[in-house]
Amino acid sequence: MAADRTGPAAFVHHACLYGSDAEFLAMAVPFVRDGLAAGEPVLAATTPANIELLREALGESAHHLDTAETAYFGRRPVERVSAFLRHHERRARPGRRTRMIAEPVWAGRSARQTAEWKRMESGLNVLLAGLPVWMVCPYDTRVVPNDVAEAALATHPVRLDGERQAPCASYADPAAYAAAVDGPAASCAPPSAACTGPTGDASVLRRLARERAAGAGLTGGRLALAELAAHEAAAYLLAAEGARVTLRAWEEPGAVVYELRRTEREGGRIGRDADVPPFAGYRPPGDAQGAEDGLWLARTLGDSLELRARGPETVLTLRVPGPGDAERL
Amino acid sequence: MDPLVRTAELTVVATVSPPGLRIEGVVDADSHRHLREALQSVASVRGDLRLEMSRVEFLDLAGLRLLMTFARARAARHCTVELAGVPPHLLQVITLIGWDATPGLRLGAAHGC
Repeated sequence: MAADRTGPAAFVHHACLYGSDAEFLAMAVPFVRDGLAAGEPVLAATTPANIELLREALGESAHHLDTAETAYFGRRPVERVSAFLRHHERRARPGRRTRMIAEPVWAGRSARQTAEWKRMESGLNVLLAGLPVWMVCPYDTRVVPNDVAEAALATHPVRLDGERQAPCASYADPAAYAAAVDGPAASCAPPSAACTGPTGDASVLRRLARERAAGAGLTGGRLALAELAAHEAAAYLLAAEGARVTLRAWEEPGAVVYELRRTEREGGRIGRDADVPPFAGYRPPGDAQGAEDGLWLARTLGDSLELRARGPETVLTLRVPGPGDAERL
Repeated sequence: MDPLVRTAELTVVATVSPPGLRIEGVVDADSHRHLREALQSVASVRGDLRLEMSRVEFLDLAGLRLLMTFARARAARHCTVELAGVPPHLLQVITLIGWDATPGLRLGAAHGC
């Protein structure tokens, strides 16, 4: 296939819009066969139905294919990125590229989740850049909404139909794309929200975060995890020189919401290190301490985490699961 | 025995049998330095160590990393450190990050939270 020309060092990210089982196989079978023939590790993270189709079509060579039911290969975007990186770490062979078929689940997602998955698809171009991975993201046009199919062409530089590659004319710079994705408007803190700050003292913010989570009915380990998530989010914002943070906390059905608003110290300037890089906190902590480790943990422990720059302010909104979240009861 | 660390938020006491430390209270950015120094004070002890953590009220991610770095240093000396009484939610975080596979680390029985 032509993508071989890019060499093993670069991340290659293709979208495949398919409308039938035959179209899926026309892409997936040669992609997997060529990879296995070249001694490359190959993963198919897709629907169970597609995995079955692929195994039948591959015959004996299906024994060498790694598979994952895609809904469980990273339930949320931050977990998805971690799953890709960990899979690569475990399976990569020296001097060889790793191939991945990575079909996200789009059906049944909320507007907020859909926006976050679109941002992540774009973010993969940044987050995995430099990794010797060739990833193809299939989109089943029989089930994905139109806006998702359109987004596929803005978040992947190249589309793949069968074995034919064509550049995506609407491919957008990831940072610009992520900033422009339409999601639900940021929620405003209700008048009843608890508030503290602005302060540079993380422990003040942490205490209120714990108090509100306890007030919402969280106990034990779940209360401790809510406190830790809020603390790590606050510590990330406070790491910038001269930063101060105001915390507002309230309840929504299903979630405790923390809004952390970072402002500069009175009369002072906030450091340039305050700029939040696009796609911050999606990579899991590595061997050496990283500036975004705590943000990754907050993203991972929360249900959602959004970062928005509003003029000189940065607003981080973290939702942690409330006491009625039956997945964690 | 006098504590190695005694601040309003954190107390660390050296233990003899088994050798190690008992950590009580809060570990956050204000106390990383104290925890690092306390760990340093037992770094030259030969054999396996135990850190008793059942009275830890809060431990942030950077504090947890100090413990993992310490465990790796133990492994380099062909011995281990056991974290005993780790609150279950911190065990969950350790596993989530993949730090449960840190060389030199042993995770003892957890206490209820």
